[in-house]
Amino acid sequence: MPVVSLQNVSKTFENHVVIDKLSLDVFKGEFLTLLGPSGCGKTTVLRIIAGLETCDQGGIHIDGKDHTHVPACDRDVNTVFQSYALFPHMTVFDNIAFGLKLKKTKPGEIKQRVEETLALVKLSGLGHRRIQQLSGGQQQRVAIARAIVNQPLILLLDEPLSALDYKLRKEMRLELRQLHRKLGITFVFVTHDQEEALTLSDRVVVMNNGAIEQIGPPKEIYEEPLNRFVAEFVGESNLFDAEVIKTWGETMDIRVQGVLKTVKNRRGFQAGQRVKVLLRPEDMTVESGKQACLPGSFPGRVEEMIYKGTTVELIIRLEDGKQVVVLEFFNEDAEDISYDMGEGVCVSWIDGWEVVLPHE
Amino acid sequence: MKRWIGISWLTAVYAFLYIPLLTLMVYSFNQARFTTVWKGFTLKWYVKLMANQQLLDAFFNSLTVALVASVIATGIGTLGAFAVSHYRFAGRKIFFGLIYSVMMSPDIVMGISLLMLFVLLGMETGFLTLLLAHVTFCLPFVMVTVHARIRGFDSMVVDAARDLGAGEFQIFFRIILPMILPAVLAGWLLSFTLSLDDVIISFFVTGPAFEILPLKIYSMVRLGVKPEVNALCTILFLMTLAAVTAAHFLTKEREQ
Repeated sequence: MPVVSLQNVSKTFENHVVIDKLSLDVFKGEFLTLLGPSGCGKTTVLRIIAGLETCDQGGIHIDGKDHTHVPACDRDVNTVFQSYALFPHMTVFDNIAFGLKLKKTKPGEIKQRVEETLALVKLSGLGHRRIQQLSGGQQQRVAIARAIVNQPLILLLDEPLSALDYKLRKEMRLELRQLHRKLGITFVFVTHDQEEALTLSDRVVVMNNGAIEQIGPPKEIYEEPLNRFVAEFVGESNLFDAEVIKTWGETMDIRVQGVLKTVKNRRGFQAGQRVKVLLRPEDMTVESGKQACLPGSFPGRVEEMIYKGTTVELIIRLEDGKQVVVLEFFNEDAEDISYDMGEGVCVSWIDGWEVVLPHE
Repeated sequence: MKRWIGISWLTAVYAFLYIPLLTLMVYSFNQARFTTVWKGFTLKWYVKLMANQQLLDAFFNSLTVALVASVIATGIGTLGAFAVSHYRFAGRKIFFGLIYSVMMSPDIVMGISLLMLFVLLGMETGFLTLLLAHVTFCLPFVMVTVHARIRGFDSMVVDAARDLGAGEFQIFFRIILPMILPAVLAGWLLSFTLSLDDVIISFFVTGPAFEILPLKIYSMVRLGVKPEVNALCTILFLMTLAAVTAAHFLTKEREQ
């Protein structure tokens, strides 16, 4: 049984549809991420789960009970806000103890639980500090502590890492994962950062325009995107227009860039149908173009070579003017990757690593 | 050169502003019965003032009205500011705009319109009408001061409190009120001084049975300025100054 279940939820703000008949199940103990561009409605979904926003249509069940009309203060859900929203007139201790005090917990127990939680977020001994005396990273930890001290059924996190610098963000990512494992609470995390979503989650929900585009584990989202939006939003991608020539079983012939290729047909495409072929930069290969290109590869010229430490990114202009991004790794076969600007090359991909999407 | 022009200009402005007040304060310590000549230092006008029962009564009346009116205005104004910034309702912006128009309208207009209202309602002018009038003109100042403060902090804080289990009542008393307290106190002090100083509106809405200090002074100076009045004005000025300074520091104060 899902711990949170949204059924056909719709929400409109001033004639603008923010959430459009959205249904979503969140399972107990999982780390679920809502990923999407800003304005896609992911924060609104979070606020609906928290009870800070009501839905115009549809309903919400939490732990199997109808919560559609239950106010935020009576839900077993706590939130870590993007701006942290700490109480500036209280100390760290009082901020964290706020929820417990409202629940009339005994002072002794409050003290114990706050101290434990402070230790958990590595802020032991800072309970007496004022919020203004803390760094951004520490404030973030207080915000997390203030939510988890209540031992909620579900912890909601609204882009909690976006205000931190790159290094701190990576650190906090790791800590969030450990925290999730330690607490066993269901986490619902909102972000527009695909790297964050892929590294943290058990499941990713890709959202666009108030609706869900795809739900799945990070690997599936990245390797088997259902449509162009997911493919382009999550990771870098090269998209080729293609046409299905002939199909047999799980295989088909397509014509792409004027070249015939045999690829898998997992989605039952028919001959004559227009499709898009998606290739991640790291799934593409580049051969020197000193001889004529082999059948099945596209001739092109190197336009740009960008050194990225462990990889080299090549930007290649194909003969018909299309631009392709290829990622080459340094390894024992290729200790030195070097191309001249404008050098002729042949671009192909590792068979079977392509994803064929319907044409949109 | 430029610097000297700046300094002398500033001196001139401050002299223009403060010489009259200083003159008044200095002459309140003057021995002379007639105020224009300096005859030596004395505190006798302050002593004499303390013996003037009529003046003391008026002073006490003024304090009473100022205290009660400012407390009522602060209570209503704070809740009003909270409502305007916290809840969405039809006409919210118009409602808040109207508050400004009360603040801007000339005292004489306010005074006459309030008098007309009280006459229409058949109310006898006196303490109650005066109090109502003072609450009316103090209220916008409280609301504007408090509203600015509420706007100044992260509204997510309210969501956070609700998320942690706080009801409306707890949100107001545990989160909003402690955060806006400096502005509430500032609004209250401002109201207090406004009420204490007011002449024009009070002139219309109070009756002969309830005399307040500014009006009493006004009637006294029609017969010539007595040194007691100087002493009284000095006390009044210092009180106002203290209240305004306190209000200033309360609104300036950042949470540190």
